[in-house]
Amino acid sequence: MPRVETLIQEPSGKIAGVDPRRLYDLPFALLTNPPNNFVAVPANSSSPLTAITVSGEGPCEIANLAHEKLGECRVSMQIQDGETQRGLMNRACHIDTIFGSGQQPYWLPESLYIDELRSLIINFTDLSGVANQVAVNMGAARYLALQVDPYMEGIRKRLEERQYMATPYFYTFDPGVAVIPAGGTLTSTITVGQRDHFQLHTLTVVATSMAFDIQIIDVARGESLIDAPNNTTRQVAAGVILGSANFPYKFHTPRLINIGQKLDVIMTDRSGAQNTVYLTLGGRGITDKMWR
Amino acid sequence: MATLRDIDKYIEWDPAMRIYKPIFWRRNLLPYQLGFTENDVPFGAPFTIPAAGANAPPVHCLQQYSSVEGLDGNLGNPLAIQNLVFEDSTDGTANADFAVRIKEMGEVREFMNREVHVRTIFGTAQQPAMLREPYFFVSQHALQFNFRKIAGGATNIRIALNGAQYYPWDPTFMLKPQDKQEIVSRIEAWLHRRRYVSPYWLTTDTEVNLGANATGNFQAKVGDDGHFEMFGLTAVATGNFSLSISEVKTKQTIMNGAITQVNGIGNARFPNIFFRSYLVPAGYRLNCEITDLSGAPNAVWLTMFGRKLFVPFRRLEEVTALTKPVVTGVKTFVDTPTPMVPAPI
Repeated sequence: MPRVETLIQEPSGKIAGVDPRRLYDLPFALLTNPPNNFVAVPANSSSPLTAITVSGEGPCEIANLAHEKLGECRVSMQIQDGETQRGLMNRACHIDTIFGSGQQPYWLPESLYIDELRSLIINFTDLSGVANQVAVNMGAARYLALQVDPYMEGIRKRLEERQYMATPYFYTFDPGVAVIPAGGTLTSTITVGQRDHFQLHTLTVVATSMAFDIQIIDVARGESLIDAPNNTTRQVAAGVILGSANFPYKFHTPRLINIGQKLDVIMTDRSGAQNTVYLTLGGRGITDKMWR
Repeated sequence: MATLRDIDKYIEWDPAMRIYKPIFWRRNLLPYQLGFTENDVPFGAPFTIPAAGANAPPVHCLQQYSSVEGLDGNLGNPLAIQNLVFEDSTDGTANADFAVRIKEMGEVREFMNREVHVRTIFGTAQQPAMLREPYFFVSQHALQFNFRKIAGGATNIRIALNGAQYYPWDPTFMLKPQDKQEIVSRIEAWLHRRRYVSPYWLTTDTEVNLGANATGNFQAKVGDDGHFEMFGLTAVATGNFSLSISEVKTKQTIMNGAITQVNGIGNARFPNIFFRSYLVPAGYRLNCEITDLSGAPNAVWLTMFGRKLFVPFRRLEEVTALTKPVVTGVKTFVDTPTPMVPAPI
């Protein structure tokens, strides 16, 4: 998204005025379309598909995710573009792994640019066992189409073209959830899709207990992602490598996992009780071939 | 490979001598915590805000003047205030329930349109409330604080205005005229900037007291004296509430529905920072439609934090020639988890 500084400063440092283009460049809280700001989720079941529409005023660039809910749930999101849907995750993820709060939103590793009159589609699946309500808030910037500045419009065009090349993307276990037996070990897989490479930026988790050890292995390379590459047999404590949506664990440098590759996630419970784990790998999908 | 030159801004490499040398002017820019003046509160003692219903006497923070042999060139030792911190030793900082209004006495500079809740603008030592626009507090100027307890008995508080204090009069500058010039030029840049830009907190023009599940519309007027650039939202309330903000004159909204206190509003310690700041021209009004979600009477203290710009708009034809926009679409937040505005000078 083009951005201009609010204050115009001359080379000498003198403040020379306010840039009027800032009047067309706004913050925006993008919510599920009214009157569904709160989405009702029946107990142990899924909510209807709910649209988050960017109105005709101008495109939106989503930068962070926050939410409020009554009970635990999973969330699934995709971009709807005409008849085509483009997913933003391989399976529904636990909402506490990708949506933070108003105080600590989850900042997307790659902002999501959406043209006017396009929609995100979102739905929730209750995990709490009682009727649930969820309200999401996507912190965004809005670029009003009314604005008439050819230079900025040129940049906006470039971003419009770029939106299909890189989008935020989330991966969770191929089955959606992993249940580690009490004191036991479980291997689950995460398979990167056939459309995008995946650049891994953050690790977040919700688990019955954080008392478990974890190892993530890039199967094709035979390398560990979270320990020295050759130490594929060694696990690390979940508490030192997994964060939450509010405070995600961020890799010092992102890690690229090629299209179609598989990750093995090996987990060993230390809590002594059955441990249900919702793990989310946050990052961005980088398109291998343009799809339109 | 990183060298000391890259990571320590207090030293520089002298290629002729092939040695590291200290940057003297930076060594005279020191951290400083400013509290209430001893004229009002004995050193180390707390300030007592009387129980609700009574107003506390005004209390001040005074920026001292110091110099040696007039070496400061009448600049004194100004303080660039970068964050606000408080402690409530009676009610507990997390439960503090009092309002505050701040103004600078000498210039009669207002920092807010009405009193705001302390927990919407003051943080704690662990999570200070960062000013997105630092305030350059000149020597011999005073900030006046008016506190009012909202509910409950008297309470004891302390505050700290934290920042960087400039000492342009350090005698070592006599041997380093270039460093002296550097620190003086920085101060002069600040003195120029503070004429046009100032931190500002905007709240509703009237108090927000909602009945259970009630909705009310509350306006917040940006004064005619300057434009308001909003960086985000903070609030303290009795219970959860929803909020929708629109500009009255243009009907422009900044949300396609109503955010809630939980999913869209922070507090001073963890503010909800906008991805893009919101520029509201002078004289415009924001309408805040607030609905109680708690099912009980709700007192809502909403604060929109930002800065006031006392400088006119330029014409579009002028600025397109002057400035080029930058692209942020490709930037990731991995390295900047908290988008903080760095000190502009």
